[in-house]
Amino acid sequence: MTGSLLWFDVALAGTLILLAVRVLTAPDLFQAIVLFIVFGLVMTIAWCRLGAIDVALAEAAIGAGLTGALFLNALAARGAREAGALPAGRGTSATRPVGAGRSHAAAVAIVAAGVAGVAVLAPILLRILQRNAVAGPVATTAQSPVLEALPQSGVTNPVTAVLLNFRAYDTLLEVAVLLLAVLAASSPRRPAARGREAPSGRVLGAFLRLVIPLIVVVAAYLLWAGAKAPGGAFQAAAMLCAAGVLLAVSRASVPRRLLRSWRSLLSLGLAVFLAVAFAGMLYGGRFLEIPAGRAGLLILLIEAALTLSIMAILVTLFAGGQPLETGRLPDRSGEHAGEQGEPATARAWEPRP
Amino acid sequence: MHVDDLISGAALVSGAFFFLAGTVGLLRFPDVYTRLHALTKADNLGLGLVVFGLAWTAESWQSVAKLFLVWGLVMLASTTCCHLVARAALHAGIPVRSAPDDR
Repeated sequence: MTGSLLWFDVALAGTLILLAVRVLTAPDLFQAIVLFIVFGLVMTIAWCRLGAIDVALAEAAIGAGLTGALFLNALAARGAREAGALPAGRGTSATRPVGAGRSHAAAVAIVAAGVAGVAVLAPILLRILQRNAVAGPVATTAQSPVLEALPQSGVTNPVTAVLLNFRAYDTLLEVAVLLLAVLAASSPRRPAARGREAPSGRVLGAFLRLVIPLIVVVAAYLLWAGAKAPGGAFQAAAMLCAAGVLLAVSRASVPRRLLRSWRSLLSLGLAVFLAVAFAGMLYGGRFLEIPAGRAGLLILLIEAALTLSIMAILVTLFAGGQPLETGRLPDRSGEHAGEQGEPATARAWEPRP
Repeated sequence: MHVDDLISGAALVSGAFFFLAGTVGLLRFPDVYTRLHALTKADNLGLGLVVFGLAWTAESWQSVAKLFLVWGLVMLASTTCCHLVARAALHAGIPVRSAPDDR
């Protein structure tokens, strides 16, 4: 932290703490969710200040964007279940947080936990600050063995090198965990609980026509640039997931070819990752030992498969865990008018056949 | 101080002022439609000024192009969101006030 930006950093940290407290104590769930999204965005700035741009990208897209959308989805489903109608806005029973009456015990518990946490973390923080004052903030990790081994990794971005080469085992397990999560989320087959929503009109359709191709291009760029600059598979997948969420929310119809292969998309990333891991053994190496000569190409291959896979996983999680299939997005199909009592409206967005 | 820094700083400060104005409008306006009005108009203008201030001292024309692309996309997204929110509010039956409560 340089001197001139110290006040900015202090204000940033204070804002984060205030937002966190407000999220937990908001009287209205909708307010809490909106504040949570804001918290994610302020966190993005904090990551940028720490020099972790890849994490900032992922935080903005997944932490603030997708998680906020998931929360809003859950809130809408809860409201639709409780009220049986359009989820109302503020202060209704659907949006009161659970246990809102027991505020005193909760407040005492939170404060006690905060004090304990500060007492534990304070000496650690002091030591970190002392060490940074001596050696400079980020330089201590950047001069590590990662930078020395970077030329052999096939990429020039140290984060990608660590994620997909040096510590590829962790990423492999992460992808497996994501796949398990989406399998667990899709297991109970239940009808999607959706309230009546306003029909989407032409403006949304025009917006999607402009923005979704742009999203795909930016995602492809992030995937490609992940080798040299902040980016990579998770960030590109988050962008594509945003496009998928837009399509799902606008009740657009999706090409049947895409939906038929949805399940294989879900497992594609893990499959390709495992294939590359085992292929290394065929050429005399160990499991997950990527040959240094072709490392760049293989990393790109793995990342491409991971992007598609993580996109499918995140969109499935958003769409209520139901695997998308047979030409139908789970909240409604595009063809039937009046399915939930709504008047027939033009479809918001239609793909070219 | 360099003239460029002064121009950039003035643009950034006035952009921040417009954001503040938009937030005050969000807090003070009576119903959802007027709040949408304040948010989208004031915030987009504020963002435009901030982008202008940053672009004035950017390193390359690619950065300038990216900044203006960001502004254009934010305008596109915020107008669409404004339209959707207003449409949903109208559909939910939130009344449009025709006169202020207190004179």
